[in-house]
Amino acid sequence: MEKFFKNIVVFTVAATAAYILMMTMAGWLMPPASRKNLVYTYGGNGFENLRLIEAKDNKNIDILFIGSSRAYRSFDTRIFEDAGYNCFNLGSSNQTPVQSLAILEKHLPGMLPKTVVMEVNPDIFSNDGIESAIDLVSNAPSLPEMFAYSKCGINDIRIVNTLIFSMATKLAGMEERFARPVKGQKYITGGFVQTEEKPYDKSAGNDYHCDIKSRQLEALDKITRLMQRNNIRLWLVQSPVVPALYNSCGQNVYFDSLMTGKARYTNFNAQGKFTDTIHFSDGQHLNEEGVKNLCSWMLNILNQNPK
Amino acid sequence: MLFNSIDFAVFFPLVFVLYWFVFSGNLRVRNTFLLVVSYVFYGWWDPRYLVLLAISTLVDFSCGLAINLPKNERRRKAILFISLAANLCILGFFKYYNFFISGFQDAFRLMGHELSVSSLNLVLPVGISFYTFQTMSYTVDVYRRRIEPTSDLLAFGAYVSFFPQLVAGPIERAGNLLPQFFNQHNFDYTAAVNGCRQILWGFFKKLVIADNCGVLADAIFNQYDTQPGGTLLLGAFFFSFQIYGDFSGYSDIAIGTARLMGFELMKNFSFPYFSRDIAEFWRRWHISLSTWFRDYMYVPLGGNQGSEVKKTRNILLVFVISGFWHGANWTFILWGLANALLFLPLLVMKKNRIHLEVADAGKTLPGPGNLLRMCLNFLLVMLLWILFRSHTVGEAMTIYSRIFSASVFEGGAYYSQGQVIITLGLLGFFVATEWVGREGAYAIEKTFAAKHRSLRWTFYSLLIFLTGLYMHRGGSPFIYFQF
Repeated sequence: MEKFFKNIVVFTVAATAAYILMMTMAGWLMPPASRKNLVYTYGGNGFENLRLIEAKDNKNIDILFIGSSRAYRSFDTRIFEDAGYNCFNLGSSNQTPVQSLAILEKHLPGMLPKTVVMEVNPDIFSNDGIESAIDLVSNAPSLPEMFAYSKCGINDIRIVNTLIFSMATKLAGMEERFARPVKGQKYITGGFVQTEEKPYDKSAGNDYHCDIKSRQLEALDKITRLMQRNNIRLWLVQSPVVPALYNSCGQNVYFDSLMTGKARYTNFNAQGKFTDTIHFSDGQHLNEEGVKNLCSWMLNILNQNPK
Repeated sequence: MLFNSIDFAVFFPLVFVLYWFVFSGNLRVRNTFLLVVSYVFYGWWDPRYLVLLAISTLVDFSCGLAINLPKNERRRKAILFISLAANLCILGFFKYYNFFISGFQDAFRLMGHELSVSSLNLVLPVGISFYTFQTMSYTVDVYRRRIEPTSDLLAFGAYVSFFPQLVAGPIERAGNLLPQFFNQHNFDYTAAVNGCRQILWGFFKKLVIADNCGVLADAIFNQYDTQPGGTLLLGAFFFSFQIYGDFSGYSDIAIGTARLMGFELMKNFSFPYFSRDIAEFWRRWHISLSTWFRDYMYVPLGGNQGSEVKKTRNILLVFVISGFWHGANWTFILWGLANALLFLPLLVMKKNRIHLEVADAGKTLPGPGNLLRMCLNFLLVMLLWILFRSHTVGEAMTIYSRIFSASVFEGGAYYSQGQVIITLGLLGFFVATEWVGREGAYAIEKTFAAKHRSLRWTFYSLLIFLTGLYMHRGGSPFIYFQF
């Protein structure tokens, strides 16, 4: 029995080392399409690598934006800066409340925002958060941060593999070599991502789910408690999607009532002020005109009713 | 509880440590522990159905003891009948009630009457077909005086509910497994390492082969009415490996898990896709069920003795009923019938036992003759799996009509999809490993056995790596749970 346990321990150590080595080599040598459970998104859409580095230099800000691509592509920090608000956008691709919580726990002590604006919508509350965790782990600027984002309460082999590969690639200083190319997007200092102006593409951005997960609601509860403890205002904002997509969700009323019960909440879909061809670049993302309208509207609310 | 779940990853190491360090000293204590953990394992899914397991256990325990008492053959037969009736009633009610009700309703409708009996919304208890067959075999063996009945309810309860094989087999015989509950087990290093190795291979089969093939097979068959024959053939190919990897993977994990606790379960699969005819296939596929039907149905019916008509009847009955065992659907009955029709010519020509040994033993590559036989036999088996996989006979017929049409040459675009290519690559590795290891109890039993440990461990690490890189996420349940 002693020999068995000894060999199990030795094998576990050896197999773990071999797994790390093989996974790293697979990431370096195999084409991305052929490695099913190893996804590496360094430098990809959303520019999370640049944002997480820049975030460290932003202290004592007025507004911190968090949420999915609907946050970093809707809340233009330049417009808020022009209005006198010192702000930063910490959105990331498919960021769910589980990842928002991890991001806030990491960055809140340094940034000390007065207000946190969190983009919320039924689709992101229906998401398992794996894609977002992979994005954060791939783009985190340091090994402890990678590890912290990998622990977002999700048991998924892809996150483990991404963590191994990201750490190895970081240690080897080879991130840029495996960076994902970005097309049609530009990172703006302050965390906003500006998208190349194109006519509305009705075939894109239509993957919209409406099956709210309890673990995402639990994460939101933790965020509200974290805000209360730190005496930070939390504003939950549902940024607009095209009306057809919004109306396809049968849980809008339920979602609105849930959010209203958690914190200050504004649903910018509700008044039908955004139109497909005028304000959107795809089903879920605003174009430049749409961004301007939304940010102005948000500023009006902020200025009229700061609390 | 699923083998491929975090729950089991916590459950089993805990059971293993407690079993060897706390409960292995005294047989009664050990069997009580095994009974409790087996009930926990089963109840994890739905504790209400533990009652059925307990009833089945108590009925056969009591009948086993009662059969041994009277010397009057008629009374012994009556007690055997009670045991069989009780088990078959439970199985019949939960598994076949709705099938027969809808059958009767259709029959009455044909005669111009309406039968006003409604079907029930029944949940099929996991593993019911497996443990009822296991307990029935005990009573029959006691009746036949092949084994002595046990008076130890704890040991018998642990035998019926033994968690590694409770929900999807192998369907054990009392003659093999029950005595092991009366033996003191000492930890055997070689057996334990062998168990670990078989578990590793079982997980690879399930998580990498079966689940990836399953995703593709589902994607194709869920749109069977719009797919060309060539794509449907590819779907059948993937389903063949899905069901093999899924079911034999479960058996490997079950046998390995039992072995880690000092128990030896019977072999359930023996490289069936390297069979050269359908008779050999059935000696190598789901061995515990095939031999169950052989011993408790085929032989009592007369087996291969008597007239050609009688032999044909016996084969037809055994195959059709074993098909029906898989599920209450005409597709399973037809699947069994089709297998019987392929088997019968071999029996009539007395060629059903010409391939008893493993193909091309000792050789690296198969000879051209055997390769051709294996490919043709695999093609036949694969085509029959379509019946097994289909939800209705109509669905199967639509698929067959497309495969046996000119559209079998269409669907090339599907073959070049990334996921298809990756899965075909993994299947290439899998089949090669199975071929190399086909003379062992399971594929990797002797892989690099004579080489240095570092080489063996590198190979096992490669399997773990491939599992991590290609396993299907989402924890899909084992197919045979539904049976």
